[in-house]
Amino acid sequence: MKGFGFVFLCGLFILVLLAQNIVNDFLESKFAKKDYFSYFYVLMSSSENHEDVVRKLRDLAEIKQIETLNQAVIAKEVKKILSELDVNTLSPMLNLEYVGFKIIFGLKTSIRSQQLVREYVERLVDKKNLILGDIKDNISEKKDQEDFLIQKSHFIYPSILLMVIGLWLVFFISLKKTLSRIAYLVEQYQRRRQVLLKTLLIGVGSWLVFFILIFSFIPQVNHLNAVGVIILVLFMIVGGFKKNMWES
Amino acid sequence: MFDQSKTINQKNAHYGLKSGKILTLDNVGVNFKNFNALSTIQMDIGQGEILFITGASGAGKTTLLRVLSGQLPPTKGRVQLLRPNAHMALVFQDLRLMENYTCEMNLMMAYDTSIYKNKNEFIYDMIEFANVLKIRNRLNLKIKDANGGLKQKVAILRALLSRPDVIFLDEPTSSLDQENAQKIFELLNFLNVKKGLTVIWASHDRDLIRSFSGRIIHLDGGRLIHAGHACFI
Repeated sequence: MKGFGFVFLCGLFILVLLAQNIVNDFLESKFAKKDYFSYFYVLMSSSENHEDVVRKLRDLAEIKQIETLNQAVIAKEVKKILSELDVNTLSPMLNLEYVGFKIIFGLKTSIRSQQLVREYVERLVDKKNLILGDIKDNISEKKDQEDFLIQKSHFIYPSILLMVIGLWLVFFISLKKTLSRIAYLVEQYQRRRQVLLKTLLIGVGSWLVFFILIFSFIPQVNHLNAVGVIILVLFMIVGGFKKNMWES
Repeated sequence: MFDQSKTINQKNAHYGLKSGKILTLDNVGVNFKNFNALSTIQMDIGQGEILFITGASGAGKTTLLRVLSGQLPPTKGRVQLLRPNAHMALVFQDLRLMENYTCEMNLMMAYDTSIYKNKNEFIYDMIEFANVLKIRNRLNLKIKDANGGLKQKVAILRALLSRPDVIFLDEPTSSLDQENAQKIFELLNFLNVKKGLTVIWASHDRDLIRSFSGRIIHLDGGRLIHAGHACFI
């Protein structure tokens, strides 16, 4: 059982070492939403036929998505602004029924197209009942959030690596004595030489070759780590098991 | 004690060689720091010979076995294996068995695909030997659960199953009674006669050795002080 665990961990260890860039890319892609887009807000009176407006906008190729803003939140915000301006929000003359949308453009929408869409909205809705926000992009606001998350993700790979190394070492140490002894006995009672060295070279080496072959097709493979793995494995085999004795 | 008339010099260490030599020791000495474990041992061991090495504890029996088997290089002199391809198997005093493995798994360590045609042939031999030593029904027992006698038998069988040309045994029957020790010797004697197995057996039990036939050398303080036939002890 221990042996299978060790073999599995050897594979996992090599995989994690070689795939550093892939793991990091994966983590960054998980944390960083790279869907940078432009958008603008539309606020219109609920008396307008907003459903028709939304439908017409959705038909446009430039529009990626239309998000309906929460009406209660809009009403609350409007009331807050008006109360700050000392406007009586309870006045029956004041219409506080607004609907809001966030119009999100597709990724490759040109600035000119974005302007045309905005003008189109102005034509669809009576100007008195419409408030349009400026066209913005989410790059700057996302960037800070992403930087923070990417920084956090940089701790994840070393944590995974440390965990795998820790587990690998536990198995390695617990197996070292048994492996040495079995190899010693095989050498004593069979007509074989350098059993441990050969076993480890075949065992760990085949894992290494297997992963290197697989990863040679993947450009993100960390070649520095691959060299590191080879040196580590050779050091482990030659150094760690140098004393192939029963006593060791 | 030894008959004084038989207690002769090292020239008689060649006494009783049956056939060609397999090992020669030429003025071999071993020093451990300031301790002289073996000094100027000169002797030949013949192919297919049974040789007993006797002596009190610390006389140098184990050191001589280790030197003969190539486990310990001598600090002076020369050990020559005259048949370089000869396979040597050792039965160590500490037995060197895998404690968490069963007796059978320990015996399997000797399964050499270069000398056995297939596994069945090995298992056939294993069962045959196990029957002789009456341990067949205990082969599934883990070594850690086995008694000293069973462990010694497994260690000896493992060495024999490797089909050696020379077998070195260091106090192989220390945990066995006379009857079981006799059985082991009979098995070794059988293999010696049938297969030409060279047996080199270190023991301090002179009473046991007296009942066997073979050549004997007696060590004292790392010196070879007697060589002769076992029955003359």
